[in-house]
Amino acid sequence: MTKDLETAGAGEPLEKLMERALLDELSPEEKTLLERDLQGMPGLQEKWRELERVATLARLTPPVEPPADLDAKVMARIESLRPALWVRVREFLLQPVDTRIDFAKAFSGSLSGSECSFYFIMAGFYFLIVGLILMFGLGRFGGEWLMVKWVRMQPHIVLVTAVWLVVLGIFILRDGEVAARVARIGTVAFIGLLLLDAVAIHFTAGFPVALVFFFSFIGTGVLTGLFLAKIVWKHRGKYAAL
Amino acid sequence: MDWKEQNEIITRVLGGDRSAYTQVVNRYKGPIFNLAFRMTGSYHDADDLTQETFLKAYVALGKFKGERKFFTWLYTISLNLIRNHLRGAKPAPEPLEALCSSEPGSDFENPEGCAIRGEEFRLLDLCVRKLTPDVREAVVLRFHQGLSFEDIAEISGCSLSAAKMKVYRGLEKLRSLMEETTRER
Repeated sequence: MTKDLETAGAGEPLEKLMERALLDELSPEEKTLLERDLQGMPGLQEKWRELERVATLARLTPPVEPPADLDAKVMARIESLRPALWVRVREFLLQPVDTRIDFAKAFSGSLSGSECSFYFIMAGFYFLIVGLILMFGLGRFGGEWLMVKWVRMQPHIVLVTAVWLVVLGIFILRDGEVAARVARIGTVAFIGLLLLDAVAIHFTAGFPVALVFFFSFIGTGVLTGLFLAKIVWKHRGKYAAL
Repeated sequence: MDWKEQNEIITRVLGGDRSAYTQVVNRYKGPIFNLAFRMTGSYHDADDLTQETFLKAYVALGKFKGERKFFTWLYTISLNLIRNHLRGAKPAPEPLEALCSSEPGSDFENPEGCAIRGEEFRLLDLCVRKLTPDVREAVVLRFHQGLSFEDIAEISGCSLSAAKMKVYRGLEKLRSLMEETTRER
């Protein structure tokens, strides 16, 4: 026995060799030698056979079939998963966005609701800035015309106009027939109210003051209104029945 | 599914293509389910744990590092869930009737062979469930799942020599348990 084991490169106790054999660390030749050596040791041989039988039995254990609907259940649960808030924010911030602004497009072809909405919101933002400038800067001019109530109301009127345009812009985002109709009426009302405002200033504060307001926001407002009207018309083109 | 194909699928899933994950589930549901089943002894719990494994892996897929084998990463997730489950679960003495049902061309197609082998498998399974969880997982991963000791060590989070020792201790314990149980019967 000892001679053979030494030949097998073992020089180790038989029990240690049995362990190595069961852990697949012995070559087939070494394993044959081990089995031959074990023949002279009934106790160890019996243990070896039993261990090997257990290992073989475990290896041969047939796999159990998972439930047939396992894939479907997993995928259904995955589909119902909502990404974490930070994941959604990251995706929103990292998603590719077309930032090109093509004003020429407003005069050619039809516009989508989101494009139309963009111009309205930008116009609203412009009036917001003008309204804030008027609110904090009008008093610095001085003069009798500031006593006119209608003139003092101008910053508020401009701010309301800003809100009006932003609300219209948001409404147009719906990109539907009703939104197009409301935007059309809203734009006409916007231009009309600006002109009425100019007339009201003229009659309450006089011609030179009316001119100042005309150049500050009424003139630009009317031009913006006409631009928006054109846009709405293009957008409306998608709804020919209107 | 080779390494390249697997990485492509993972990239697709991470890119938002949830349906690509079906291929991952389809490829690994068998081994993961069997691991859970051998560890818990309950078909129902194995079903739940397998679902949880794939769900957790899906959520954590972004953290998977390509230098590691995907299946060892998946097995680690599964094993952690199983360990947590076993800490709070009662032993499930569910008969393993499903065992003698499969594999065309094997001994199990022969009813007599099936009956004898089936009894042996039942006995083995009963004894496997009596092993401590850490030894049981080593035995299951080595013999039922056919994994290498390197993979077992990585999945179980132990050294290579510790993995080997657990497997051998498991075999010895199984031998004595099977002997005892047979004698009692």
